[in-house]
Amino acid sequence: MDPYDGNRFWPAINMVFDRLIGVDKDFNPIPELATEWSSNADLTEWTLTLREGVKFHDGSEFDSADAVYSIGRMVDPEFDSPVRAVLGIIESAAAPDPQTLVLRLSAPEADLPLLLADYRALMTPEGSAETVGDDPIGTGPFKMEKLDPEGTSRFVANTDYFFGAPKLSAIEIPAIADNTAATQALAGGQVDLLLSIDAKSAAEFSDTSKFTVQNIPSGDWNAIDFRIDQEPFDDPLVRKALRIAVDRQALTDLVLGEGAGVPTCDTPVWSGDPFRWDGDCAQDIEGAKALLKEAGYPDGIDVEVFTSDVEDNMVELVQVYQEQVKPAGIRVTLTMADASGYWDDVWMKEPAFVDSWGQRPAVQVLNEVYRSTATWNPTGQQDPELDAMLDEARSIADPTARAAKYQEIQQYLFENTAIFVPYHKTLVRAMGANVKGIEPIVIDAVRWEKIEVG
Amino acid sequence: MTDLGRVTGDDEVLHTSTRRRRHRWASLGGAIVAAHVVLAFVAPYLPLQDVSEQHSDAVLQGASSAHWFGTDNLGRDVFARTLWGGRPSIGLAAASVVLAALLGFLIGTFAAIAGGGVDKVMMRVNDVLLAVPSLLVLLLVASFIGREPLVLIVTLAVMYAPPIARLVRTASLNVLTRDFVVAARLRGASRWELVVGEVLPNIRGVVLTEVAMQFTWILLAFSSLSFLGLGASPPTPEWGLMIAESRTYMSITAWPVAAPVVMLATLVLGVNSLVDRNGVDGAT
Repeated sequence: MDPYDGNRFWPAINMVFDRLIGVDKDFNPIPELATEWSSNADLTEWTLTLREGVKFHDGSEFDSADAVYSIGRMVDPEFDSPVRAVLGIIESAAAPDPQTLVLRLSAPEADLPLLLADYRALMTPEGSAETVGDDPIGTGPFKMEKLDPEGTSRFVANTDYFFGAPKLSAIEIPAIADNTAATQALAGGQVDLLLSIDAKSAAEFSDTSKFTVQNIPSGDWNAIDFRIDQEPFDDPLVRKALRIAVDRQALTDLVLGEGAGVPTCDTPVWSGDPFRWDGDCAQDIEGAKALLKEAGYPDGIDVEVFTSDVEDNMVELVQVYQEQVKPAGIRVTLTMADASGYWDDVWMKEPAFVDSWGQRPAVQVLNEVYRSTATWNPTGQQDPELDAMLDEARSIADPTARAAKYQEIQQYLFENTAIFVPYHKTLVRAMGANVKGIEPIVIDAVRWEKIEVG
Repeated sequence: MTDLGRVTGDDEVLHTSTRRRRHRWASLGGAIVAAHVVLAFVAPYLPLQDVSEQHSDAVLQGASSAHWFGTDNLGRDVFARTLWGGRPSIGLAAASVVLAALLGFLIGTFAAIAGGGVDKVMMRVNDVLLAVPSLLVLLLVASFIGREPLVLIVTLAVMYAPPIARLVRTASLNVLTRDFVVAARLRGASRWELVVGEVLPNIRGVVLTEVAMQFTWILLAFSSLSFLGLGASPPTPEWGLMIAESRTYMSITAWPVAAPVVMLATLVLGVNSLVDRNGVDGAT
């Protein structure tokens, strides 16, 4: 149950703990445990005012000391929490008084409030490092009663919750082995809510009045990455040819199911993000052929793409890609790799491979995937020009100007990148028709205390 | 020749009606197997739809005049894929079983003729191989060495040769004690002449039955491997792989799963009924 641990129990952590800052359905930062925030002029120091009178489940007060402690654990290099990739920019946290938190950054960051809204940036009590895993004490709408990740875990209402007492008295989370079993459990009435189901299986629930199905555009994406340090992908012409030969709408419909994804022009920034660039990237077979010819491949090229069934959609993506780029003279061989070793032995190592990322705000995803120095820069792209643009973007205080810069970066990526990003997935959530209070919004914004079952 | 009655079952005591029933059953089996083999050979020449063409506007549809067996999750024609789907499995299983038969025959006859310590050691090794779960070995080989057809064929042959070897040895020992073999030995026939001239013709029927049975096991093993994602590679149409790819969508349309299942089941059943007759008649 440690929210900062790589093996955190999601979504349970989001019922038990709260963030400083949340997000609304349009992904704007909104108050959670912090009520106000502001920065200094050069965006390197942020001051947050914390909510008064908030109590942890054990009755103790939540104050800035807890926040300093929590942030300290998130960015601790030794603990190396996955959330450190998001908030590592925080150099120090100080608590001048119980209701004030001051964060100093190592570089200007205009979007710190959005970064603090990461679903793992949750507040835990001071000194709880050793106990939080088994005995989590949070401020959230539900308290843990029984933890059994392989059986059924139970969470009971926290009637003192600062946003109001939850409408449900308890939530149970049973462990279900796979997708098929999960859909059967919902169909059979053993569970009321499935947070995510395969879009093509959703047909089972959409035709009946007994269920509600929500389609929620999300920022999760798949990609085919081409190593820029290997031939022929070192040539930007080849890279562009590999990306423009695809009918993205048809690919999205085939891989994910109709209406189950939003096509994207190689930008990892999703449709709900205010910094998203909406380009035009219609299929251009002749253009791709011309680019390949110009690059010295008049007879087309052979490409071997590695994939695996380690996650949904990854094998289908290559199969559909293979068919679509055929007319452009791009001959794709699909190579299946073993699922257990995929992320260690294939990803970022083979010349071309399938990739999968979760939703992140523009600032985070662009820095985490494309910056030369990023640990997870999957194509090995070293581009000082791009790095300079990223530095500049995060230091612009004016949101409109910042958005323009981020859009310029995405347009630059479309011309140069070696990462083919065809779509963002639409999350399909299914529940019994008697479940109320879950708005069709990303899970980060769902208010657990408002859910009721009629 | 009825010398092998003891090995193959006492057909003398079978009633005529049972025999006739078995014959009818076997002819049906033969017809099914023949149909499968012919289909596998001619599939590329039939006016079928392209097995890899995808229709984004026709995903997971039921049977229709445009797609006789409906479409799969990528909008591909299930009928064409089902007809093509036997080619990798049947081809690979046939190649493996020929190799397994050859290995089994060589090991079995060699052990039988050599006798003594050599025979004992060879059969103990054979027993060890028989005790190893073949699917497990296949999974390990496919994960660590590779899934190229040649690798799989050799592995399958090695894993499925032991039962054939054991049977060949038993049948050969039986033949080797016969008077006509002893006579041939006295004539000065070499070991090789004994094997080819005397042993082989006499054990042919029973060995063929065993080989055919092993063919069905190999077929199922390869399909299982594909089902587990380590056999045929997508987008190849292959029965085991088709079942694996489509099972998630079974509640939406059953065709993409049912069609390859029926094909696999009928082929196995066909081979079994065919060899049922051979089990009786092989020795005569």
